[in-house]
Amino acid sequence: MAEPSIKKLFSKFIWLYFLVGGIVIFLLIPWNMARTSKNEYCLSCHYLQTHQNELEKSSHALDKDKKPIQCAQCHIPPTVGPKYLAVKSFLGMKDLIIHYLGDPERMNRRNMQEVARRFIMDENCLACHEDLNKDVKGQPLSEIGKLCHDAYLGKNGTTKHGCAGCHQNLAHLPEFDRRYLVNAKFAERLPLEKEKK
Amino acid sequence: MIQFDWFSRLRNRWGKWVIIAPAAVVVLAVIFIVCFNLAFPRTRCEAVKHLEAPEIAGDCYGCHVKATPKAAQDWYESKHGVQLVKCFVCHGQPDGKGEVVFALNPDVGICRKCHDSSVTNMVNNYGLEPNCVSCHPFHQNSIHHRAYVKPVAKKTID
Repeated sequence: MAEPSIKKLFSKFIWLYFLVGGIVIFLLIPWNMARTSKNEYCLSCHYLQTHQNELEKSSHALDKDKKPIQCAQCHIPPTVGPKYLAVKSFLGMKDLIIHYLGDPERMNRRNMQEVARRFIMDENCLACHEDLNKDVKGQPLSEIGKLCHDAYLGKNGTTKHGCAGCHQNLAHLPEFDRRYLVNAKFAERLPLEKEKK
Repeated sequence: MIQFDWFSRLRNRWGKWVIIAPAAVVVLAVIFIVCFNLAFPRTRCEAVKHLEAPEIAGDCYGCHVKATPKAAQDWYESKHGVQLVKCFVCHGQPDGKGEVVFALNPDVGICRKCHDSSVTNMVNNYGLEPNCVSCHPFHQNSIHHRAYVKPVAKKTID
């Protein structure tokens, strides 16, 4: 006679289990978001080590406080809000799908560049590069540079470009972009890829 | 109607919510996708309005070698660059003067001005739509650089 009553109890309070489970998952979201935004989590997939190696040789290895730049400093929005949640969930789902269903060993870095540049927030760049009329060393920009930034600010012409639309290959440099003259300095610092036969 | 047995059982238990709840999920998902694409536009590399710089207006390359160095180098190394087919021939001029429309992605009609026979051949012999950039993609250094980028073979012979 005990069995049916337990079953009855279970079916009567089934909503309670869902509620408790939902609350637990909901409370764990911030902790999980913080955990999966750290460098250790990104680099726990070994194929992302390439990107980290490139970053360490790039001009963006250290930030303005001479600390190593973390992945999250560029790739996700700086403050928690609707944008943060949207980007975090989109990029997270994309990563999970590619990790388990795709072929992460042979990533198409041309397509990756497009996706990555779409989600590089201008606020992330402006956190360190505050004055758009001066370069990193505090010198005023060239005439053409000023014109470009005027277009970005909407003073003279307008553009849909974000920072990453023009300033490309600052932190990562795939092989097919190494032949460009603008990337010559960065390409020198990277080890030559062995010739594949 | 055995297939719909589970549905009618759900219907008996939850009533109209069986339809309202999934519909709400779909509507929310659509709203999310629309807002997401508005917040993070897919095409960000588009000059909405070209800036005005009268002193250097005639020299596209002079400014763009600094402003968009990769596209400039692609053009410089390409057949179009060697033959000095200059920017305005395909892309038009920012002030809107001249016959060619000022555009980031030129129309097939622009290609036809020089390559009309090739385009016609492709349509007649292979039944392809007249759309050059799907096989000769811009910004992957083909029109600006190599004539045709070979697709990477999926199988490799060791």
